[in-house]
Amino acid sequence: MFELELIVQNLLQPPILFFLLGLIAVWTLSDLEIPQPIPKVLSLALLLTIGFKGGVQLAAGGLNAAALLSLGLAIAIAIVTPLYAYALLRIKLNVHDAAAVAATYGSVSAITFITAISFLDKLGVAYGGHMIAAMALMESPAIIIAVLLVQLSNRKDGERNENASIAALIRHSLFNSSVLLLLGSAAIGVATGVRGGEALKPLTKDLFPVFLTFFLLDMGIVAGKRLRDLWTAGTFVVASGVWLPILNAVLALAICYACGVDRGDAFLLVVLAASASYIAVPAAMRLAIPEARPSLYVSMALAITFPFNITLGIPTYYWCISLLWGDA
Amino acid sequence: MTSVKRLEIVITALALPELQRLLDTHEPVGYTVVRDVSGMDDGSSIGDEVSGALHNHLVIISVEPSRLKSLTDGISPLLKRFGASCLISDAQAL
Repeated sequence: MFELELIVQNLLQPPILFFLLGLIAVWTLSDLEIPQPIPKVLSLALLLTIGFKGGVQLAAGGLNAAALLSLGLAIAIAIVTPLYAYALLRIKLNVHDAAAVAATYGSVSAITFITAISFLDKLGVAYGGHMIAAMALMESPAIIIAVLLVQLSNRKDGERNENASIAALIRHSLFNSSVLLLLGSAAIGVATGVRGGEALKPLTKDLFPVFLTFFLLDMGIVAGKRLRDLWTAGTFVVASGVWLPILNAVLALAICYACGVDRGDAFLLVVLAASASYIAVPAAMRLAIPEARPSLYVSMALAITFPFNITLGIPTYYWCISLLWGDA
Repeated sequence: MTSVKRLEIVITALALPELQRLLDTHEPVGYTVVRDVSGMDDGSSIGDEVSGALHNHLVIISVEPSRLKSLTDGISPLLKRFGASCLISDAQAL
């Protein structure tokens, strides 16, 4: 399918249009808002649904060699990405900001992943339930690598580190609310199998698009507000919000193609590599690298990369997959 | 009424448990936590982002004037590390 047609088709999905409505609400100074804690509830519902759905799929399909390959590549991508991102970002940013931004882009965005799954479902392209586990595995390595990079730099400068320990950080990375809920729901999905999937079908089939639509409306509002933070950040930071995800996507695409990953799994790995975390990483960075500026790393992820990925990125990545893998 | 020192601390939500642990060791007269406050900052203090990691809480502490120094010495490194703000004023407790 031609790229432009895919982009238009993606943009005309209700959740994406509601995201754009959220942006418009901020730009027109409207008083539209979704009060807390509703966005939090929606994000938890989305994570629970997608985790459970993945678990049910995993129970039905099992864990084969192809699934293990995807999981191995997910970890490899999550380790390599923050390393080269940090080296590139150090050209313009200080150690703390570069490490935090590298962690942001090395980790993943659950909502971008969920939007990509919704995109695949619309096209009727199959993917493995194990990709939920791949996403969870990709959350943490970048956080730990970023902290190690800062500690390495501090050691060189003879500075003492008083921030969170690596052990505390690993615990936080593995048991933060999003990873715990996602993996816990997947485990429940595996345990209950297809029968459990049938029992929660209204949640996974009918309510899921409703949750996603409401949540993306809120994300549009948040992204619009975050754009203000970037006015003073400079062109390098703003441009990094676009070139970093593209670079990550291209590398993931090349790796998946070289390793012969299945079409649906490859697409999801590319989207995960291109996404930037704004749930797990900000919490970890505030604890581990409080010197880094959240107005940079959170705003880049929320106001530039997330909108870019869900509007233009996802259909473009899929178009590239179609070119390399051939039409489905 | 007795004279006390009043501390008003605005601190990231993530650092609150550590601050509370320090306060418990210094045993002030008492403290109150007001959750999710927002105000003038570099934009990071808005409390509507997804993760909640950038939420700020306000902690109001009352302490006997003679114990103020040991308390501030104990909590200063934490406040400095997380960029928290702290105002100290005179107050009367009923």
